[in-house]
Amino acid sequence: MHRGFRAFLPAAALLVAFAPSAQAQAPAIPRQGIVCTNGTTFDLTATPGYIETPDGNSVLMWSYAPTGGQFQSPGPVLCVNQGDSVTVHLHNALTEPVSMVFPGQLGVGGSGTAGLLADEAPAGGDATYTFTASQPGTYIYESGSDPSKQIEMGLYGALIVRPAGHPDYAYDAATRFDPQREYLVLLSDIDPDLHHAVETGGAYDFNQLHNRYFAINGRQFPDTLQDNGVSWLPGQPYGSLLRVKPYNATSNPLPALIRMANVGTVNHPFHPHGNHIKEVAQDGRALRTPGGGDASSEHFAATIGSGQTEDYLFSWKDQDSWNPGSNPFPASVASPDYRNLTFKNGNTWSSGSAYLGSKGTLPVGTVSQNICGEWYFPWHSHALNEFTNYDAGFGGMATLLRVDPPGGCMAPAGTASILAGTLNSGTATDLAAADTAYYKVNSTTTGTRTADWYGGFAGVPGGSTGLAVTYTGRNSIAALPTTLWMWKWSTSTWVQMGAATGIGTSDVTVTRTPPSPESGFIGTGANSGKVRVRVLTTGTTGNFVTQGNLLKLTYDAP
Amino acid sequence: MRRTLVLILIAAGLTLPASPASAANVSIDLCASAGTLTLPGPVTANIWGYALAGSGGSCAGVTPSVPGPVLSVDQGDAVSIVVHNTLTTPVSLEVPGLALGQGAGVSAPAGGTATATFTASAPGTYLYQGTERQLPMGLYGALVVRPPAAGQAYGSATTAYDREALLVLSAIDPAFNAAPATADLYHYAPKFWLINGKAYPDTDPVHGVAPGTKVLLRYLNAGFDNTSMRLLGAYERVLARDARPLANPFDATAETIPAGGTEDAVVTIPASGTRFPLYNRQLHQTMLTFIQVP
Ligand SMILES: [Cu+2]
Ligand SMILES: [Cu+2]
Repeated sequence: MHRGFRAFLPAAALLVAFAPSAQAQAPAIPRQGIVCTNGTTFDLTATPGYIETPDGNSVLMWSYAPTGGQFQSPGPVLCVNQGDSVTVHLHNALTEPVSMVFPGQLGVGGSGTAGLLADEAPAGGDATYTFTASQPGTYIYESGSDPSKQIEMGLYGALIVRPAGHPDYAYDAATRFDPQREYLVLLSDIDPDLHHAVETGGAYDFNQLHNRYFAINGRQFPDTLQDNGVSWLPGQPYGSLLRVKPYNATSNPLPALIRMANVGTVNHPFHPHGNHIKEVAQDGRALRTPGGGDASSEHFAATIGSGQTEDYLFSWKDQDSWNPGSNPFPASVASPDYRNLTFKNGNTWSSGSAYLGSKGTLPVGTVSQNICGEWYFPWHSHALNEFTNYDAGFGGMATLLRVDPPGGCMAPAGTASILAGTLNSGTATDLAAADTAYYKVNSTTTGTRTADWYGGFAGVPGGSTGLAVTYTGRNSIAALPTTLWMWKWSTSTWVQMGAATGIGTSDVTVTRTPPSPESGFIGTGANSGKVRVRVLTTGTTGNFVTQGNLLKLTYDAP
Repeated sequence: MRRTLVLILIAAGLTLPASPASAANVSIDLCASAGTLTLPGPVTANIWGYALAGSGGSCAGVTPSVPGPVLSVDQGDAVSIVVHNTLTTPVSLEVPGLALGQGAGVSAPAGGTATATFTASAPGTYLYQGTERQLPMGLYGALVVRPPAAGQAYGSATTAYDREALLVLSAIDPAFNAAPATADLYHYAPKFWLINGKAYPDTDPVHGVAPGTKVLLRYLNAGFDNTSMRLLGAYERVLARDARPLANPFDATAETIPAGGTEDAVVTIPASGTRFPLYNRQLHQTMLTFIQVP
């Protein structure tokens, strides 16, 4: 795999099977990004359960599951604050002694039966671990009992310690990040034969280890792309799709934070595409010069050792800012030719366009997962045997970085319909850009004159947020009050967005957002993905013409 | 010959810093001989190992060890190592990181000798070793070059330590060692994972430390896997790799020592805790030892 892919993906990243979109979820769980279990006291049970792999296998795992809760692999992401006194109760539902170790925590106390590396909970019994989370950072927890069996079986998870008073710092002010873009990338590997041996009581010989499954946050590609908590992966609640918007010094200045950990048995060469990632810490300690200065370093390949954690800051910069309208490719730069792209089973995440935020032509029959011209980059293990599910590519230790258009997804009005008045000239196409082409509506000709029409939008995914309308237009006579409305499908009514704006004989731009909940404004069923925006201009007793120049909808797709 | 060579018994695993002397001529006579290594089970594996020769360079009655004896010299010493080969195949000696007068290495023919000379030009932790099939048989050991300042791993005072422990990491596949000339390397598969030639529970803990003690860990990876070592209950500050000090030392709880590489790290014993496990995080469980208070 190579850096530099943009909208077009190599066959490596083309999907095998794509599951339907997410079911309703508990509102506290974000669709993407780290899912914290917050607290200072945690109750975990070491218990068996099954994971599903994308090739249709199911594999017995052992994990630390929330006591009384659903089995999950890996164990919950424990999030605490610096200075907290942390207590972890471990109940053992397995048939052999189990324990927990907390690398990077000093002075771990507690109770249990003395074991080789830590106090243990005997089969059916309990142990308790206590420590003060003295330093912020990304850590792991894992079994300290018969590690060559129990860690292989899945007894591991992540521990996050946030700086006191600064949940938006990884460590210190130099590591400030956008809290909306915090990601865990927990790498693990599985030899299903060893798991089968445990399941069937067969001989377990770690020297026979041959890993066949490779996971990020407990899932294999392409399941890694699915939302957190999807119903069809009940034992694997954590997705790992990474999402960013292009860096912007004013509107998007903060980097994403990627907390990487390797709980597997081998070192993994992780390969992030798109831009360099900046390593700022290792094993829960910021990288510093002897004088206390910044010793971070940038990478386009990062080997993460077995048992290690590494923290990365990541900003994606649109170096060339190509735009089909305002900054098209110079003649010397060839546009990408979609015929040179490869597609697997007619599926792609390519937008068909090399311009961020716009979609282009794809070969007939190709199903695109691309929503609105966002770009996808593979992030994966560069050990290609780990980029597989049971030796079949592509799968395994891989996910995607999704770069969303800077202003969100944008859709121009695809249709224009008149509610009151008559068509003067133009079509909906004239509403696509603020240019010299206008969609013109004659007002009514009796009583209080009005011009009342709406634009129709399609393909807005359910669950989109941040809906915003931009209208640019003018009238043939001065200062007519104009209001924007959005159609609420759930009540079949128009809902006015904000106050009237006076619009005269030169172009005025109005931006409006609908009231929450936004979900009612996106059609479902037969009207799936449809949004309607109404422009109502009220005059007096003189005829006028409303001239619409631009009508567009922006939104953040899920 | 002025004798500034300090020999450290592998079994001890830990020494007080040696006091350095001024540059000198140092001559070391090593035997490369066949022997056995007893591993948990018990399993007896055939080995080839280095041993210190007796007087006059005699190899009569010497017992080779895996790893070989720890060689300790002072920075600036003019060192000459004579290999007396009692095996029936040639044996090499190389010291990656130090420039030998003979080039990359020397080779002693079966029953013969070879001499490697070098100046211990830079302080640090080095491997001395044979090549190819001699390595999995056990022909490797540690060479420590000490800087002028006593109690420091390198020239900088930030590399000061109170105690030191050598950790030669390696592995043994008894099937290979039973037939080193003919074994198919495609099937090479170690069964025993060793620290200083011993598999847990036979490994030697690092005893005698107290809160605040700075323990210098000199890792030498004589095996064939990049090896990640986990430390619990404390941090190690990684000071040097391959006998070169790092510009920016860093703290770690899981550090990978590449095959053939060395690394120096200092553990400052924390105020709480009395037993700090140090083990192979790639889950080869017998590569395990402890740093223990007292
Ligand atoms: Cu590549
Ligand atoms: Cu790649």
